[in-house]
Amino acid sequence: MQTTNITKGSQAHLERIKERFDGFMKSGANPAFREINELASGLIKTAGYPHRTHEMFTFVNTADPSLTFFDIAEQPISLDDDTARSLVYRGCENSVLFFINGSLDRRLSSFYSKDGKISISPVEQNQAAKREILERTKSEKDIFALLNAAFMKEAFLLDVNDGVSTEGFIQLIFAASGSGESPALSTPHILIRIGEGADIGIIVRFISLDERAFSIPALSISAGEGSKIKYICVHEGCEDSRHLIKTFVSLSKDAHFTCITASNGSALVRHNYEIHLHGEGAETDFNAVSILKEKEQAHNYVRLHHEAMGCISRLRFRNILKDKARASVDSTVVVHPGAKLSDSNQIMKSLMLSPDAKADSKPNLMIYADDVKCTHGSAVGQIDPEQLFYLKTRCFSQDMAQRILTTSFADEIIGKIPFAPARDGVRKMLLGKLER
Amino acid sequence: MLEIKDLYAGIEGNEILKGISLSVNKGEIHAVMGPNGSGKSTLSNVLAGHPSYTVNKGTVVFEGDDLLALPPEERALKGLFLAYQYPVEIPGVGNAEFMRMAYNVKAKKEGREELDPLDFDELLSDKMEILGMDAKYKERAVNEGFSGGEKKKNEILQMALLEPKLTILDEIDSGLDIDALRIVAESIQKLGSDKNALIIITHFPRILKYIKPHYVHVISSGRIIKSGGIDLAMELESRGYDIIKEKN
Ligand SMILES: Nc1ncnc2c1ncn2[C@@H]1O[C@H](COP(=O)(O)OP(=O)(O)OP(=O)(O)O)[C@@H](O)[C@H]1O
Ligand SMILES: [Mg+2]
Repeated sequence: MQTTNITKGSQAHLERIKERFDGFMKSGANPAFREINELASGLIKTAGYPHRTHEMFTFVNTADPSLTFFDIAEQPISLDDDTARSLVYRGCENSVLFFINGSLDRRLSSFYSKDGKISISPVEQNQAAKREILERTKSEKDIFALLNAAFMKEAFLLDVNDGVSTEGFIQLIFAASGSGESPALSTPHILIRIGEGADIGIIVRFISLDERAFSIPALSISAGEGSKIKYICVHEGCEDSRHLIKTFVSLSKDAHFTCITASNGSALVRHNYEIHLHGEGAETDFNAVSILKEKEQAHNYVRLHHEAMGCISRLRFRNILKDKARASVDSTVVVHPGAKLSDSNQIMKSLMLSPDAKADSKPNLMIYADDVKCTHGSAVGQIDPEQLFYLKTRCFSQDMAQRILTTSFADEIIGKIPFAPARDGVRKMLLGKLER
Repeated sequence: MLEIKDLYAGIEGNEILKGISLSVNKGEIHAVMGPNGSGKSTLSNVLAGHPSYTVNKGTVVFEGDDLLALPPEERALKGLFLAYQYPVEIPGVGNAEFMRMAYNVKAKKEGREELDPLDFDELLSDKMEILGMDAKYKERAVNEGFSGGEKKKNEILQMALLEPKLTILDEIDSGLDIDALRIVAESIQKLGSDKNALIIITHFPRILKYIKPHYVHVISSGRIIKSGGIDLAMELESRGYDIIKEKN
């Protein structure tokens, strides 16, 4: 009985997607991406809509009707200058790109690159880039990343030349709107290509402007040999908005990827990071933090692949949950055959401030190589009463003591953000939620 | 200053303190000695207000107030300070910032000036120098990874900053090397005045050579079974707790 219901539900989701897709192909689609759209749509049909027990969505309610009852977001919409300016981190005024519902807003963006060594361009006429998207789509398993490809009508390439080194950060702002009856789907798609030996900082900020925003961005980062990327991802949803983000990362030999991803939660935020350490000596230092209240949700799904010798990965996750919030971390490190001397460590910690909140963590390791050093651990707990008592005997009230302990718990990740304006911004966004 | 009368208290249904009475006046130093498990730390935890302990009988008056009716932070704000036998580690909280916040909470309550990080650093540096503590302990997380002796020094540092009226030192001397013991004992002594009081819980008379107690109490099975002067401590050292058993 249950099974037929689930099947029926999944079938209904699929049918709605098909209906939307047919409408999209009749009007709205961009002929330049037709091949990718159709490929993705076909793959969705073959794979089926994921039901609750799907291994990629163990902790996410895919039955949520808002995920398929969508309209395509109108574009372009305008964002007033003051709002736009308030979204730009100090120091990024001349290196900011605005994507509104997936479209590059050239008026709001301000991007000066010395000697054109960093450039942004549409992918439409770039056959190589389109082929890259097409190839990646073929092996994509995430239904929402496939939805992105099926409904994609624009894509952009951020190209950082070999050897470019910047002190400041490039900020990409993805703003999603949606004020109609149904959730408004937007499908931003960005390729980021980092040249050999480049050393660069990128901040990606996802923002919902309205309650009905439903954004499923896809980003892919390919890092050249010996490059260094500091990557900060900030997600600021509003209550009823939904964000399902796919970030694909591929690291060449000796490339270093340092990532801090912070989420404010909303009706649903799911971030899927697929990271390939495919050159020898590549390294990833991955950190995720969220503080959630009320009925907010944030889910991290990470698949990190050690594909070459001597790669290093560090993954740290911290969540603080109040009220009826939900968070999950589903992270697997795969050490592929031949990836000798792999060194990996995953740590997940959740702090529960309410008996009604729920945190799931699922650290996993799949090792197919010899001579590796891999560890993982996870802990879900409350505030330590001995620490609380110690602080109280040092004059702090219950509230203050609790705030000190929760703040420091989250700040062990937030404090790693290597760009002060973003660090302060994330502190303001998240730590404020710990006040009563 | 402190008046404990017929105190019965326990944890998880086990009665540990069985009728403690003790009176401490301004300017006095009391030493409390007694075998392992006799209830010394229980007494300090009950006085500090640890929520796991229940008081079954008796009263404690501190500076005219019913101490047992106050939450732990108000006891601390009134001037009670417990230097822990096992100080708690608090990862992620910077030691100096923690102490500044604590200092300011108390200063604010007492209507004194709160200190900004720069001014506080000056005060902190002075106190740390006296205790022979390296400046690197400012930036480290509270007690995290500190050695046993470093944790004890860090407790005395907090005592020096908070200037309590009544300090309970729960085995402050355990884990300290000979030099550290002397430095810590001298610091404690400097903090003493005719306005405040000390309760020193210890197993060893050595610290009592630096900080001379006016009274020595022996606690056994949750009761003070003998009180006397410093001689009692010396006697205990040479003859052990057998002397108590003989007399019991
Ligand atoms: N949670 C508990 N449940 C039951 N008994 C407890 C609990 N906590 C402490 N006790 C017992 O209370 C008694 C007194 O312990 P306490 O720590 O006060 O001793 P102490 O005099 O400080 O000893 P020491 O010199 O070793 O520090 C001990 O027998 C101890 O086992
Ligand atoms: Mg003890």
